[in-house]
Amino acid sequence: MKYHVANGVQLQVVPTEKFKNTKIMINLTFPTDHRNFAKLALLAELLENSAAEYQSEMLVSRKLSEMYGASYGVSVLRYGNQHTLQIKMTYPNDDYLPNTDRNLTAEIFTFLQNMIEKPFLDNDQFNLNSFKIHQTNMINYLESIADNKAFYATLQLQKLYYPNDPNHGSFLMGSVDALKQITSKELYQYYRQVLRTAEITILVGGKVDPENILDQVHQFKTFSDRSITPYELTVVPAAIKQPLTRSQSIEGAQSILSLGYQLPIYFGNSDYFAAMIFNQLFGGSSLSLLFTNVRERDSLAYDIHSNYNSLFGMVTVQAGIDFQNEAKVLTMISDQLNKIIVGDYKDTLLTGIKQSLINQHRSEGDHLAALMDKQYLQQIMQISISDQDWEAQVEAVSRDEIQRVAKRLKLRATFSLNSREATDEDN
Amino acid sequence: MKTIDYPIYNEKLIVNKLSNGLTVYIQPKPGFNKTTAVLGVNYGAIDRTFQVNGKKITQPAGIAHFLEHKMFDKQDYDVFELFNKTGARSNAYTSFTTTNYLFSTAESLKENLDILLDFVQIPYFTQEKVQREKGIIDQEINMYQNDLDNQAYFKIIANLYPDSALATDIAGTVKTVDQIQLADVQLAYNTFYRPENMSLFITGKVDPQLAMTWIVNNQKNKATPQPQVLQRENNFVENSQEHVEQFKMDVARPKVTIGLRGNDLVPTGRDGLKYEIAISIMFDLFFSENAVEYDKLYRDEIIDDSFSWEFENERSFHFAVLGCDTKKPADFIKQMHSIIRMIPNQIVNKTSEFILQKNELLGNYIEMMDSEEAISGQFDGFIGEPVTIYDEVAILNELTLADVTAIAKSFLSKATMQEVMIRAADND
Repeated sequence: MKYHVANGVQLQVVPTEKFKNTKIMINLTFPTDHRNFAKLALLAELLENSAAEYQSEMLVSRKLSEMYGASYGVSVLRYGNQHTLQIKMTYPNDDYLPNTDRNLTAEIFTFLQNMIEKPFLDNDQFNLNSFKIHQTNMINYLESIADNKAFYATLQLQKLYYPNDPNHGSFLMGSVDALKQITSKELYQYYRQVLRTAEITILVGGKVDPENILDQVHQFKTFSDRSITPYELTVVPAAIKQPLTRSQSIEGAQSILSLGYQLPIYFGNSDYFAAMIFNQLFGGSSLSLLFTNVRERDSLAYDIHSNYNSLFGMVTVQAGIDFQNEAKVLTMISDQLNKIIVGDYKDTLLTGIKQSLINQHRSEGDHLAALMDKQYLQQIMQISISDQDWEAQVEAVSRDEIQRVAKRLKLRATFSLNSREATDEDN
Repeated sequence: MKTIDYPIYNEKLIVNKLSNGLTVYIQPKPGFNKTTAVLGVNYGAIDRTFQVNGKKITQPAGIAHFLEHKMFDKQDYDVFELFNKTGARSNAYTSFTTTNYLFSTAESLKENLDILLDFVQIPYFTQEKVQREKGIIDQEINMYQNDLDNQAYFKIIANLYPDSALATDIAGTVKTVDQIQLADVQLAYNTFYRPENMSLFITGKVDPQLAMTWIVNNQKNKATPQPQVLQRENNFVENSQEHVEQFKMDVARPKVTIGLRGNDLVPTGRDGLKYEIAISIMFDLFFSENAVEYDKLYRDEIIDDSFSWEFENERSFHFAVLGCDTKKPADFIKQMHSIIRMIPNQIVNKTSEFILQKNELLGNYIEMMDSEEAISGQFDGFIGEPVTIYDEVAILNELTLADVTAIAKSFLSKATMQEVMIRAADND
């Protein structure tokens, strides 16, 4: 059920009696601009941990416990060119609570209103103590990213894939330098601008009365009319002369090899389903050629997988390997791609992959969060696919289409995080 | 066959112990599209020393995990291929005390149940296949070695339980994995992969009567193994003197882990679960975001969101691990000690906080009830009586602050501690 709350503010309610919990998702969105990355990330951290009513992390947390362990989180995301501040809550249905005279839905919306519309301020800025603690925490977090090697490698690959394009190449949480420069006053001004101008989409799923939810949403004073200029969601990277390669040495037991390919096929394109199946065949599942050949047959990697992002038109491969095997693994990765191009794989594999995509699609109906994510993606892409249609399109994908997709893959970036310590006593 | 009803949550559990000793638990979720099944073996990384029919055996570290890998590898196919034909997803994992094989599917439940039972109950091991697996496992071990939080976790357990089966990673080391031979794998399999040492748990879309018939028929075709006398040996030597062990590694901020080894006796069955829930609440009362103690450490920038704790209660051991990335490692250790020391006296005063924590936990359990992964992950079929999420809620509802205080005192009065600090050469 869709409601127009104000210009640029939409509510979508998905009533279902299948679950014992209710979920709320509020998205505030605008076109990506890297100059806002650090600001929005710090803002998310502040909105998650304080409000005028609950001035510390402890008070926010106690309020949530009091509302039967309701979970509340604020994060930053990007959907292609869309920069997103996402506020999420989950809370149990009244039916399962011992105290029957409570109306948890109303309490939860009041809580959200407090967190979003009444931040913890001193005059015209965020409370300085609270601001400083969270600024320091964010800086510490950014500095510790290098400790998580696979994630660090992913970020470096992204940078290499989009040279001179900080809107898509830089880390969504910003940089230490950018974080250090933000003042509390400036951040509050930015927040006011976000509230005034962002496109807002609210999704609510669970055993709820849609009209009641609409009434609750109308209580938000800031969810008022705003003008929205449409923009392109999908990302097309600038052309490059040749693929870029970079490597970095680390102390560690394993090297991590990451590759980024351009695949100019996007969600909603006619080849989208073929691209999705291509990825499952390449490295996206435990039946994929990368998994069965590089891992199972040749024992060269425990973790090797590929990903397809249909808003960025990008396929990535990551593998944890011994440094000495790098050249061998690179050759094998390109061999597996060629196998798909020439159609060198069994029919049973393709049938199995289609079967498992359909099986997973049906299974998603058991996860309220997955249902809501799917709903949201279809909404921002303005594409609506029914479950039957989705399955029919998967079934219809042919070998020729997959071959056509595979041929369009173009390597753009290779990043290797090298560790030369690893001992391999077998070789 | 027995049915346990949970009317408050409209749920039920069907329990059936088959004649060959396999116990089957089915918890249907009407309205769901998907089914999840977990075949658990009461055998994990610590079961390396045991007596079978009077003969003492010691096996290389990592053998249980190795066996888990090997089960998927058959004469001319990989088990993933079978599951994939129906579109099911499958996986397996090994802990200190159990090995679990699972699948989830929205289609062809019977076929997948047969695949699951057959691939775990009908092994295919050869010398060549055993040898080939070592390369992948070495890469898996190296991946864990690259994860510093994982390293800190296993180092602290090693210091809590020195010279024991707990002192090595679950996957073993490159060296111990290399020692594993075909005969070791066969011996471990024959000793532990027996119907009476396994449980099958199914939740989601399932007709319990029908599924039970399928399972009984599947088991009819399998030979019952010869009876055996098994004695597991997990004798842990006393903890050494408390000390901070330091490691130099490339980390952004020092990583500190504090371990508490439980030396008191934990009851079995539901009482064991009550013990677990009570200790979790005890830690929450002092170390969750709701606690004033946590809040002070947070404001003093001794801890931040990287702080976490966990409590493990398994067959024959129980311990807690608290860890944080911090620029003030010495303060962190000092403050944690002083808080832990005062818990037995302070905890009785936390009346309102206790009610708050019970509220929170109740909500967390209700959240888990919507997830087949959480329902099956939380289930333990090896503690004498079946205990589901719904039973845990019942235990929680009855729990008083006096219970928690008594259990906290039992744990803390005998617990011994160790610390591990990982820091870069230039972190000082």
